[in-house]
Amino acid sequence: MHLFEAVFQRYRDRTVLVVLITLSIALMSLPEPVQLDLARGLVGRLVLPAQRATTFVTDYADVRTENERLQRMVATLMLERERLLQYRDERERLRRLAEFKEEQTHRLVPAEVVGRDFDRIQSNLVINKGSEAGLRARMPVFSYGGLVGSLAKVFANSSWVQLLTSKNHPVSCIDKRSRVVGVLEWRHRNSFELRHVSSNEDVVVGDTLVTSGFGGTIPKGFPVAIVSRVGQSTDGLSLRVDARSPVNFVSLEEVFVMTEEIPWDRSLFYEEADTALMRDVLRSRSQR
Amino acid sequence: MKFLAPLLGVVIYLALQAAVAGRIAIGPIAPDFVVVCVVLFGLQRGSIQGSLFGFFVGFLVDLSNPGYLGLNALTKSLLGFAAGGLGAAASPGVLVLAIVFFVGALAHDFVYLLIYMWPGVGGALLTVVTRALPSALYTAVAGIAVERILALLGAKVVTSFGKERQY
Repeated sequence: MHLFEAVFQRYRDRTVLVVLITLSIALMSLPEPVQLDLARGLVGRLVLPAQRATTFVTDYADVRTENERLQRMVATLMLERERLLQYRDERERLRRLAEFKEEQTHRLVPAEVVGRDFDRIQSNLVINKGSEAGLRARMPVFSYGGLVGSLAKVFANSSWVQLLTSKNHPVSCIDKRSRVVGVLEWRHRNSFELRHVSSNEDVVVGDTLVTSGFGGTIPKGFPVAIVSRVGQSTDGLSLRVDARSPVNFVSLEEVFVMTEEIPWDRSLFYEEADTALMRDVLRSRSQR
Repeated sequence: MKFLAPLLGVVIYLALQAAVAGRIAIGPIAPDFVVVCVVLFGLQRGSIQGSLFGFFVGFLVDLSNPGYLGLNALTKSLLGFAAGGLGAAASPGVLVLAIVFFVGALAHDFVYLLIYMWPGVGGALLTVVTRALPSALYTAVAGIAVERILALLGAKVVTSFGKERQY
């Protein structure tokens, strides 16, 4: 016992370091649900309120610029909406004529990013919508550029989004042009690799990779990445397909959670109240 | 008071990281104020307190990325320990301090990326060259700026080897 104390006294700094390293490795070895629950409890009490306050203060300065940008966007969307409604009616008529199966569209819930990793490699976001807005775990999350990730944990008024830039978030994808199927895995920054593609498959640079819909969690046909490089892998049996996502994962400010499928003919694109608001905005802009 | 000042420091540096680092980033290259915080604390308080402080701060950072809970705690414990060892050996001037920030940030990111992206060593090394290296330079510049501001504020800091430095 005396010997142990003597050794501890002599190498106290190293002993502390070894204990801390052991503790860190123990934390890393915890199962992911336990890690999430542990973080959830502590973050809910400590970090999230502070991050919300910081986000509010820093974002306030950008509100005016963002407002103008949104007004421009609304004007564009309004015009596009009219065009889409015409296309929808026309398409529906044609589909009835051809007796096609009724297709589905999706309801998107917009959400604001209120928290991020402090790490420079971001693999999680916190958004300001939760189960009270109808969100559930594993629902897919999109931005204007395409698929962003999926909901990892849902609380009453906030949710964790696990981004595609996470090692454990592979996505089954399909080449939009040639219909080649593979599994897209993150490599670094916004670079990905499409795996399990045979060497005789048809994939070329510039092809768009969209979600395959396999597994039933993420619906089919949503853009994820664009093929940036194609080459032979070292084993000669498969292709090495690199792809880049158009999404800037570092600066995401708002995202959309896909909550449910709704029949195409019942989709309005916007609620009636939103439509009235857009008309007001357009009218006020035309009067300036 | 003994624990209040470091706690306040942690809150300020985390707020800097959350609110400022992204805004002054050059593309994907951003300074790491948390690394600056751990290095400064280690230099001033020595290996034991440096590693304990690094673990605490790293754990807080890990809470924002719970999929890898413990990784930041590990890397920042090592960083605090190493900075503490340096602090006991010499009183660094500004140039030496800049080098310490640079090497500290680079070594921290190297270990972090290697574990995070394991077994993708190639991708980790590429990210070290393309991202960690310029970020470490930026962190060194930001660290010196923070040190100068502390000096202007007249913060009194006791180095780990017993001498007082008037910042």
